[in-house]
Amino acid sequence: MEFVYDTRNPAVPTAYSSLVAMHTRCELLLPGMQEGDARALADQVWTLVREADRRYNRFAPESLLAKLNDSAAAEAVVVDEELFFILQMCDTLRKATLGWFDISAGSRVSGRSWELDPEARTVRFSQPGMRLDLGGFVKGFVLEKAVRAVCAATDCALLSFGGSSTAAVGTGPFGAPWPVAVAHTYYPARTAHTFPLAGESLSVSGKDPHGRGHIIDPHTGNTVEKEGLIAVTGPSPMVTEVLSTALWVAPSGQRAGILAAFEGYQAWEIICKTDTNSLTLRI
Amino acid sequence: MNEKMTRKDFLSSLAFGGTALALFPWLNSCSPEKQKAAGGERARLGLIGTGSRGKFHLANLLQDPSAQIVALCDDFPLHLEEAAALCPSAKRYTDYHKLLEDKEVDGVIICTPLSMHAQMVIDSLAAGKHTFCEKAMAHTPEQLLAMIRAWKQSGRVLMIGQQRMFDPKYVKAMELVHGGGIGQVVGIRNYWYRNNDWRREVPAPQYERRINWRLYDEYSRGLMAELACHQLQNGSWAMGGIQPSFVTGTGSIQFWKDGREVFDNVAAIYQYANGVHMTFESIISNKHFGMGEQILGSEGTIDLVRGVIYSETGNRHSGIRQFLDQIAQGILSNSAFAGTSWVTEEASKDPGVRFVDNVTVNDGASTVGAAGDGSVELMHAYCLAVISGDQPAGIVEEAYWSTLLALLGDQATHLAGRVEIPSAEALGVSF
Repeated sequence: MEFVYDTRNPAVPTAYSSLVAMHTRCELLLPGMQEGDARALADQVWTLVREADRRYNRFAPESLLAKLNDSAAAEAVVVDEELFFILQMCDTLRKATLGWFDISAGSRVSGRSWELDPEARTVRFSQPGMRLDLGGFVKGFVLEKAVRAVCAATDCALLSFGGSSTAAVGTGPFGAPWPVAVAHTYYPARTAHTFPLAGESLSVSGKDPHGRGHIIDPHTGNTVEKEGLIAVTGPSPMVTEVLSTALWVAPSGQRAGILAAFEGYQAWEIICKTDTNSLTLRI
Repeated sequence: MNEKMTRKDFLSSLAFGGTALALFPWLNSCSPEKQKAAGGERARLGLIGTGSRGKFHLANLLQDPSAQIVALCDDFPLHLEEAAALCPSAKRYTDYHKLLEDKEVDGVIICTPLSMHAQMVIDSLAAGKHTFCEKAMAHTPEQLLAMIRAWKQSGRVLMIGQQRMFDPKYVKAMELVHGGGIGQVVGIRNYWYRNNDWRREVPAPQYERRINWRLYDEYSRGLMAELACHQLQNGSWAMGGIQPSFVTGTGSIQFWKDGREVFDNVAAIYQYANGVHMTFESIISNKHFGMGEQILGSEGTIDLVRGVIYSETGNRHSGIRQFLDQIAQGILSNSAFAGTSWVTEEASKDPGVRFVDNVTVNDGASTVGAAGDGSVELMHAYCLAVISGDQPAGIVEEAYWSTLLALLGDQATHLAGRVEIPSAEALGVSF
């Protein structure tokens, strides 16, 4: 964990803190707070992140998710309230996105589904070999919890989990919205599009043109290799995270229809060109 | 000490900060309070072994306002004369037992070949002298235990020459490690490369084994005792006192085939119970990489030798962090950081950040000692301990484990296999 308290502007002393967790870097900017209060708040937020990492990292054998993945095909597994809520949310969002957001997409098993029993608070997989991956969803879920914790302490903050999920608490320290810019995929120092954020979140999904795709098409089981970015803004970091993933994977013709089901959310497609230009299209 | 440097300057330059004092108790031995308590008193010291390392300490102690060299001892006349030339007022002995009988000597400094350490330390403590001994502590694990028992029975101060424990950049680095600055410790890498034969000039053939004792098994444990012993302490320090479970190793004489008995290249891997590995490698027929000591963490890397910390996240600049500079200037303009999820699986291009000012980088080439390596602070702490009679906490324990790891590592390199590392309890040691 890194913590910096910058007092160069005495009117707006600002705390910055970062933590590497959930396979990425999580960052927090807290303008206008006392150092001790900011440090305590950062500790509180990073505790939430570490706890989520511990519970939902499917690669950690002792995590709740790994144990669920190991057992739920053989028998109904009782899970705690938070995990049950997450699975319910994922199921609801899967249906709302016409199946383009699916935490079981990486299973490569046909006819897969999971059955939730609210009475017994159990989960059961329909097929052996099924695996759930909460990676992207949990990032948004924890960011939402973190925003709630930060809102209780201050009305001015910015949180970023890996650059793909950003949440603004209130406006920036000088009254204007936080100017959050999406980096050009070929020229990272350049701005492709700037989103003024005030009390809302931004999620960006896509593929780094220099890297391998990591988002899986739920309908084919293959890694999606297409280019372009999808940016989504709205009140809930959890929903923007899900929507940006689903809209990026979904065919262009289905995007507007999916977005229409989510009131208060806006989406854009950002196309970065190799000649340094970029194009932003409202969905 | 620089001629323009006052006593106050000298003492304040050796003081460590509050966090370090709380984390590493031996540093209290040269705290401002200890220095104040010592007043103008000087520790009356006798030096046994006036070879290269002995003279290195002697030169430092002659600059220390808390030290008074009252006696010198060596049975090799040339070395004794060289030391006496630096300190003409000191009495001269050729038998260390006689020095131990000298009532004017309060503290003894032992800089003799490794195989002599144990008996000399035991005799010195039995004679009621506070005792400093060069590392490694002992030639065998059995001697090591005998030294610990003798120390516990004596009630006297015992300090060992693990100078990194007083080197400001190592202290600061370990503060960062213990403060979570690099996340969870996941590996420790040590290496020490030189390209020389490790020989000292011999005035006549009959002095070969005596002068070049480091090259012969009867007196030495070779590279593991003389070099690894320093670096293996990094592991104990970084891991918070947890010790490895076993060591595997190998070694050979592959280049300097000049009649020496100790290996001229070794490699050893120590494994901790939590699966973390600490490595040590030394080759003395190639010096390209010099000396290296690195603590690898889940969130960063510390280069102990250069005093630099590298972040696992440093290869892509944080936009959020850019806002800090903007807010400091009273503005807020757009900052391009949002995009596809940032991942850590890239080779780092982070140039790193120096965590201490005016760092002295030791390339490991010197076979005697290096400026700014903690030796001055260590000897000053010893002087204060001799004056007060207070044992610096933790220092013998750290030295004990460093030596034991070096000796068992040496066994592993000779076996070309695995050697178990017994716990302190199994050895009957109370730490």
